[in-house]
Amino acid sequence: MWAYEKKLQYPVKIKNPNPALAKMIITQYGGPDGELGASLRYLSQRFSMPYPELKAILTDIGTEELGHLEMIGAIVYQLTKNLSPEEIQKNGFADYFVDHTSGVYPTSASGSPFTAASLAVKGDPVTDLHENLAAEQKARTTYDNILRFCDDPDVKDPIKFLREREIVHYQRFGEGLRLCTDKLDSKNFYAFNPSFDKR
Amino acid sequence: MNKKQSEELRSKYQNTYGPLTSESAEDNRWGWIADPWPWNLSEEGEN
Repeated sequence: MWAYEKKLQYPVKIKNPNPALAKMIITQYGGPDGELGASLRYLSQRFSMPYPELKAILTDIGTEELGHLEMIGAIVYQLTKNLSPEEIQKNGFADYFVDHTSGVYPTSASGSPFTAASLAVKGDPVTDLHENLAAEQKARTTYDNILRFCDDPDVKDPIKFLREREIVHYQRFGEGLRLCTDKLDSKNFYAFNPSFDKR
Repeated sequence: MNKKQSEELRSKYQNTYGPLTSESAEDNRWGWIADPWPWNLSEEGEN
């Protein structure tokens, strides 16, 4: 179960609304490589993990991703405050506004609603950990792309924090993969699936 | 950081900014609910 602490993992204090930037950053809320997908992926994979260390890593990182989801929601919320209809129209935000006003809805930058099709839970620890390594790099690349368009230091700061955390997660999943393969047959890591086969 | 340090820092934070969880807001549960939420900026720009 979860407990909620009423603070962001890292502060978000954006003084200048910018709906054009919000339209890009929202992809880390509901897009294919965003924090919602990440949290759901890890929190779902942990059920079939055969080793307690892997259950713990996935629970810990999956929970942190929920905190990141909250940060992205806060960023989008602050970037879209107090907008006039002219600002909404001029900045390409009208399509989103019509459906969601200034609410925070899980969608990608291109407007596709969140889908679990962007995440995988294969029920094999070696497979799932490789999925997670790739997911963290995809998230890091997405943050790199967002930073290309960010001039506002109030926005850059939390985005850079989130980018750094993706790299840490990548490293932790790498350690998890090593831990997993250490427990398997070194002549053939794929001889059986420790999540399913009884050996 | 050890458990004692963590608890001390947590206590210091809550003394300055208020309770972190609704459970720790024993005496003022409604205050925890009514105080600004993390994405809301106050007039001073704090959240």
